[in-house]
This record gives sequence, structure tokens and C-alpha cells, in this order.
Amino acid sequence: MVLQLCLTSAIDDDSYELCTSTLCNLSGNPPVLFNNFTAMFKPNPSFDIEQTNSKNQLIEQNRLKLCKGVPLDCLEPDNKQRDHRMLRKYDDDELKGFDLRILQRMLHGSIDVDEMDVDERDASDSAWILSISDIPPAGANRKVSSQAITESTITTTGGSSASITSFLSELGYILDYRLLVIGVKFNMKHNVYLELSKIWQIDNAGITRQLTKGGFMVKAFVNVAKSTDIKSINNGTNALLNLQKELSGYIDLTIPDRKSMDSRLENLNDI
Amino acid sequence: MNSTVIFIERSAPATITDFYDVLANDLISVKEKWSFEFKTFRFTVKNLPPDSPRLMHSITFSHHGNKTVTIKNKSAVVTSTNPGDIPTSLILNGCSSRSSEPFDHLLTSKLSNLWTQRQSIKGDFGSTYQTAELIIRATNVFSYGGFKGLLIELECEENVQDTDFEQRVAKIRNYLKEMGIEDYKICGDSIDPLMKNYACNLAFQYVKVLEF
Amino acid sequence: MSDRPGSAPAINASSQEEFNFQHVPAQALDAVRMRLAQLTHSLAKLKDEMAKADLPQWYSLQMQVSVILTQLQSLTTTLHHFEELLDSTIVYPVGTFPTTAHEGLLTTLLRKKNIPEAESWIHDAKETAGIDLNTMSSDDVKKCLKDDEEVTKWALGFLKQEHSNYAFRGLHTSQEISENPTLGAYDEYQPSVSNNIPKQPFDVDSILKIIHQGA
Repeated sequence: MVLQLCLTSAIDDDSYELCTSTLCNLSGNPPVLFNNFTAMFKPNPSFDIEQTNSKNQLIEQNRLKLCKGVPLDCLEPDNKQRDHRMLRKYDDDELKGFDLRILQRMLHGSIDVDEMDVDERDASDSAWILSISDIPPAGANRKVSSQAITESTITTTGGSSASITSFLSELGYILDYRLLVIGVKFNMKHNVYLELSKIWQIDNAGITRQLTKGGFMVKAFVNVAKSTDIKSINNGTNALLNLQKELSGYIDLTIPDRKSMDSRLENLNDI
Repeated sequence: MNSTVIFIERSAPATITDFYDVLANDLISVKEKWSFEFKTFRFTVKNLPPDSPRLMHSITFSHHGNKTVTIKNKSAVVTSTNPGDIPTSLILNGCSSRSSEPFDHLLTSKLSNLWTQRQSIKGDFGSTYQTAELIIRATNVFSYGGFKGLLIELECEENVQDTDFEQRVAKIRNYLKEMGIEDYKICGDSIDPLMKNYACNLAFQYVKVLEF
Repeated sequence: MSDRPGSAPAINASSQEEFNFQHVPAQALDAVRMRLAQLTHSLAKLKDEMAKADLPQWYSLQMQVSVILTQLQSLTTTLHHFEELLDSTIVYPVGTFPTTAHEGLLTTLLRKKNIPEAESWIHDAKETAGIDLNTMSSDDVKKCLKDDEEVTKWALGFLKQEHSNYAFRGLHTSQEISENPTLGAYDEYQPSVSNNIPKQPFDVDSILKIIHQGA
């Protein structure tokens, strides 16, 4: 179980250029382009699911997050233009020049037999990270948000219906919604990562809507591998607070509302 | 690469020694020890259509890179807790935090309202024999301390024809017959003839012979 | 062991019933002792702090070094002040001195050579300075020191001159200012921080909510 400590903020599109060069100088590292495709799955609503397990413990229904990177050449064919400046062209709902069918193929597999052979050769193509995140615990005197994330690596999928979606439907989960994130990240000091990202939601009809229109979401975080490692948690917290202090007056990093980071199904009673 | 799995329920803990004696003439070498763990999970949802399967199995092999295959119906996923198995693209793109947990843990902790673990079958400290034709893995199988039977996994190298492999398997079956063992489950089927995913196929064969 | 030129007067002194301590330069010795005590204390403290895992702040280090320099200065002034007196003072034991009980103290007091530790410091210092006393006469050494002083003096002068050639404040070069003296009269540079503070175009929590809950 990973504990993710984080602080968030936002900047507008016009500040992006100056902000990346500021952060670049501050961290001493160039920005790294990243992107990921997230598919959130929820328990199949047609099932009558108990809220307790066989030991009579309360287990709330939680969404499953399935995540993997999208090959960059799908977004930007020209190798030379693949740097942080590339993000400037994505200021709209539409993802110009991006073929959404790639995402469809990732989730549901290809029906075409010839293409399946191609997939087999590149094993990392069918790899996914499956994770479940808890709601961050409540508490008045928290300095940073801390969220426990349980994750598992799926290296390949197999079987006669080999897509990841068909396995998850056997598991009792169906696709809820899909997100695409493109952003840049900076390696700051003391294992702190700072991400500036644009996020799109993709609906079932394949229409994309940018959630971060007019700006970028800013997220500074530290991952602590063990939630019992108090020393690392304190170090991570202090590192984040130092960054918050360093950037204050420019980017004001704050603790996000814990309720907005809750991925349980809504029909359950809130704590 | 082909494989076949045999499970002999009507056997004694000493049968594995007899089997070794029969093989002794063909042996090239005795290789590493191996183990596996086979878990069965039951879907607890009440209003499931009566014809849909309720059981899911997960098999962790100490060989084949310590991978776990979770299999239900016709779908399977291969999971790994080995940090080296996380593709770098997933780390660089911020999908993974590099600390993977076994998929079983996810099932027994976060999804225990949907899935209940029913049984656990283990084969520990099994033997691996190499003959000119096959790699043979044999182990006694236990469930919660009680002896369940003898499991034999047959594997051949790549680029061996299917018919050749079948002949080699037949030879082993003859040995078993000589030992007076004729009542056993055997599976050399493939979960999906198209994909040829070795770990998934092997797991599928384990499920077929071990499912009680 | 050092030879003991003072042994003859010591025998004489022991024959006297009363020893006159009046001529012991107690004041001078005490002054030097005080300065040395301060200095060794400061040096030990600095050495201690440098050995710690996390170093002290740079400004605290700088303060300590400047204190040590002041103390060194004070020590050399004191030594200089009492130079004549101390140079002409000779130590010898009186007859009543308990030589067996305090042999260590006695040998230390009567020692004429430097102790080996100090010898190696001096050697190190000479080595670092690049002066070989075996081949150089004392005049050469003096000349060497003088040269060194001259170089320092020249460098200081040069630095002063160069500094005056440039304008370190404002937005204009020294040449521009000398051609047009009105330029440097006031500070034109106004940092415009306020213009570049990013605006928050959306509410982060609502986006996080969509990420975690879909809507």
C-alpha cells in the first residue's frame, strides 16, 4: 500500500511558459513529458452486492482505476516537437490529431486477428496498473493530503477473451468513465514530483471534454512505499511543505478537499 | 512451448519417489526445487445468472518468474510483484508508484465484499527433472496440511512439434500405467489457441486438473 | 631531553632560604595564558562542530572564524607587547621543587625545542608556503615575504580600480553613465512581480472530484 502525500493548485494557460522555465531552474531538471490513459471501473450495478464480507467487515464499493501510458507518437508524430512546448496546442476540448480508437483498442483488444499477433510481440502493450485509492483520512491539523493507494501490476492478459475489459467484467466491474492526462513533470528535491497537467474526459460517444480548460492542474506529491514508515512520511511532508513555502506567492499549493478524492460509489452513506 | 498437467488424486505421499525411480533411467539432471499456490475465490453476488460461473482461480508459480495468473471463465490476467516486471513506460508516465502488491491481496482486502477465498492448495518443495525430451516438475499437493495428491507438470522446449510433444506425454502416461496408476486427471488444452500465452495456458491446465 | 643551562643557578637558588618571586613575569604570562585559553577553546568548538553530521549554518561558521581571527590578533599583540620580557626570561627550578613528583611538568617547562606535534605544524606551514629553509638564507626568506606582501597590495589596488570601472547598480553601463550623467540619477528598474502571478482558471477540487468520481 502506497501513501501518496500531495498538495494541489492551478495555473492559467498564459503562465505556462514562464512557469515551466521557473520550475526548470528551481529543480535543476528539464521538464519531462508524460501522459496516461485512465479507465475507471465500477462494480456492475446489476449485481446485488453486499456491503460486508464473509467476516462481516464493512467493505464499501470502490472504483477500480486502470491506468497505462499512451505512446507519444500517437499524439505527436514529429519526434523533434515532442517536448513541453507541445502542450500549448492543446488548449481546447478537442485533442487535435489524436486517434481515440487507440484507447478503444487498448481496453477491448483488437478484433482483427492479424493485429493481435502484433500485440503479442510487444508484451508491455498489454500491461496495466490496477489500483484502488482510499478517501484521505479526515483531521483538522493536516498539513498535506495523504491518500492510501493499493496497486497491482498486470503484465499481460490472456484467454479466449483476452481483453482487460472482459477480465474485469468477470471480476464484476464495468467501465464507468475514461480520462486522458497529458502533462509535464519535474523532479524536485527530496523525491518530490511536481506535475502540470491537462486532463480530458472521454465520453462513450468518443467526444473529449477538457476539464482543465484555460489552465493546468498543478500537483506536487511524494509517494511513500509503506504507510507504516513514519520517518519517510515525515520527511515527505516536510519536503512538500518546503516546496509550498518556496513557491508561495507564485503558485499557492493547498490541501485538496478530501471529499473530492473519494472514489467510492455515491449511493453510500458519507462519513 | 507446450505443456500438460497431470493430477493424481489416488496416490500416496510416497508415489512421487516411485515416479522418480521410473524416470531414473531417462534423467539427465535434477534441477531446482519449485512450488506453486492455487487459490479459489467465490463470487458472492446473489443475483448472478444461474449459468454464469462463480469461481475464479489464482495460481502463483515459483518458476516462470514468480508470476501469478488469475483466471475466470475464459479470461486471464498475469500479475507480478517483481519490481522489474513493471514496464518502464508505466513508471515514467506516472501510472505506477513502483510498489506492486499481489493481486490476491487486492481481492482479499479491497474486493472481499465481492470475492471470498474458499480454498488454498499448495505444492511446496517440488522436484524438477530434466530428461532428453521433457522438463518434468512433480510435487505433492496439500490443502491446509492434508495430503491431496501428486501433481506433475510436463513442459517441452520451444520449436517442438505438437505431435512430438504428444508422443512424449504418451510415454510418461505409459510409465504411470506401469506404476499401476490409471485414474488421474490430465489436461493439455489451451485456454485460447490463438494467443499462445504460455503462463495463461499452464494456469488453465492447473485449474482443469485441480478443480474439485 | 633538553640540556639544562639553568641547572647551575638552580643549585644556587636552592641554597637560599627565601626565593624572591618578584621577578617572575606573572602578569605577562597570565595575559598570554588567557588569550591562548580563549583561542584553544574557540578552535576546539569549531573543530567539534565541523565533525558533526549536519554542518552548522554558513553565517554561524563565518562568525566563529571571525571571532577566532580576532582572538589570534589579540594573542599576537599580547605576545608582541611582552616580547622583550619573555625573551629574556629563563626558567629554572628552585631547590625545593618536588622534581620526582612533577617530573613531567618540569621537563615541559625546561624544554627548549618544540614538541614534535608543533614541529610538524611548523613544517607543514613551511611546506605549504613553498619555502625551503635548507637552501634559502634568511634574507631570501624576508625577500620572499616582502614580495608576497607586494603582490597582495597590488591585487587590492587592481581590484579597487576595476570595481570603479563598472556600474554595478541600475540598468546602464559605467560608460553610458559617464557620457550622460542623468541616467544613473535614479533607479529605473522596477521588478514587476504582480503581472506574472498565475491566475487560477478553475477550481482544483471540482476536477479532482471528476477524476475520482466521474462527475
